[in-house]
Parts: sequence; structure tokens; C-alpha cells
Amino acid sequence: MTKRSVVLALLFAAGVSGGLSAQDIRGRYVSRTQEDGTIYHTFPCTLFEHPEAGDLTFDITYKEDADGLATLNFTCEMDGAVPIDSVCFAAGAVRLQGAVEKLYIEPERKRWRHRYSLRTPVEALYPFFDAEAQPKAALYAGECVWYYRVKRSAWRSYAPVGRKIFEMVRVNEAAGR
Amino acid sequence: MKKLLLAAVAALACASCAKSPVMGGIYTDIKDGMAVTGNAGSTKVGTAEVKGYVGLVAMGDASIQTAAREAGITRIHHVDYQTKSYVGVYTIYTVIVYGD
Repeated sequence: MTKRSVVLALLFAAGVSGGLSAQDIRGRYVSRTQEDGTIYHTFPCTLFEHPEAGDLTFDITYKEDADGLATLNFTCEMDGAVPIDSVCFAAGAVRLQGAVEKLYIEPERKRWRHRYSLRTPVEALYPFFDAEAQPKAALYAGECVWYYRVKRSAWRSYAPVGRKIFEMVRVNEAAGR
Repeated sequence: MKKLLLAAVAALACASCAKSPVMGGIYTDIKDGMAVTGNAGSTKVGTAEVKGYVGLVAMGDASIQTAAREAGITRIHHVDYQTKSYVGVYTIYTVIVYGD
């Protein structure tokens, strides 16, 4: 294999993978049709950052024809093992907020890895992914609050994907009624 | 010697496309089923992944147990997996667990 063919193969692969980015939602979610409705799941995405606590990774699952609530699961690392009691994800005027359910807390090297689940109305997810908004997240543990922010470029890249996924969910659910 | 080394790297790179029934030498993007149980329906989905670099280094935990725990799943309905590979240089293997 010559150096030239290796470079060409790499460029081709970069082209293929680049073509999947932007607003192409393929590879960003999975869906399965079941007897009692379709289930959608967005793959984990790391957008929110805290200067000291680190990154926050989230994924969203929604089952059609259930109770209109989607499940937003998120993972974050913290210095302590004190559980979070509630969270607020905000983008523009849209708020995804409420009490969280702890999935697990476990040690990760010198820190603690936390994972929680938030139930939120699915109709709020489409407007939440507004590319022009400046989203932020606040994690509450009693009196303590941790604020997370998103880099503008990262949000502008992912928000159209999230919006398209939940537009698809909305359209499919409306068509099925 | 140089050719032998290149062949070894290429072989390792191809080997990194784990468990796929079909794989592309340049680009792979495959979804497939792994397991089905007799449990009815699912409302939760959990994922876990491993990543491989240049076919030489691979890290992560793509066990069904980890994927289930990520979503709080205690009754598994079925398990799928997904493999993506770019020239064998960068490979992602994801396990997707559906259940309640």
C-alpha cells in the first residue's frame, strides 16, 4: 500500500464521516418499533462543561404513547459523593427541570462519577434545541449549586440535530393518532 | 521489514472491527442484533461503548451489564450492537440494551 493510497483512503473516510455530521441525524439516535409504540434514544452527547467539575454527558429516551414524558439521563463527575436532588437545563425560555432519580454514584480515580435520571415533557425538547439559545445547566444538592455551560460552536452544531430528532418524534406521534 | 510492519498494522486494524458480519476496509457502519429475551416490551435504552485506535489500542466497557445500568434497566428485552470504523484507524463498538 503506497503512501498516496493511504492518504486517499484517509481523505475518503474523513469525507464519509464528515458527511454524517452537520444536521444528519443518522448515527445520532436509534429507534425501535414495538407493539405499544416506538421507542427513540439519542446517543450520549457531551456538551455541558463546568470549569472545575468537568463535563456532563446526557442522552434522551422517549417511548411513544406512554405518558408524554421523556427520560433525560446524565452523567457528571464531582469531587464528592453527595447526591444531587434536582436539576435545571435551560435554553432560551425553555426549562427542563425537576427532581432527579439517582441511577448510581461510584468512585472514578480520585473523583466520583454520578448518574441521574430526569423525567421531562417531550414537547419541551423540540424548542429546547434552539441553535440560537445559550444553554446552561444547574445541578442542585441542597444549598450547593453547580453551573454548567455549553460552548457556542458545540451547541450550534448539535442543536439542529436534537431539534430534527424531536421534530421526527413529534411528526410520527401525531401521524399515529 | 517495513512492509511486514504495515501488514501487521493493517491486520490489527481490520481485527478491531469486532463482531461485524460484514465489514468495510475503508468505512464500516453496521447495526445488528445480539440477543433477545422473552421479557415483554421496553421503555428504557442504555448504551455502552469501546473505542479502538489504529487497531493497536482499545479501551472501554461495552458489556451488556454496563449498558443496562446506564439506563437503570433490570429486565432486558433485547440487545443490539453497532460498529463504526474509519479505515480501521478509529473504531467505535456500541452495545445498545432495551428493557425496563
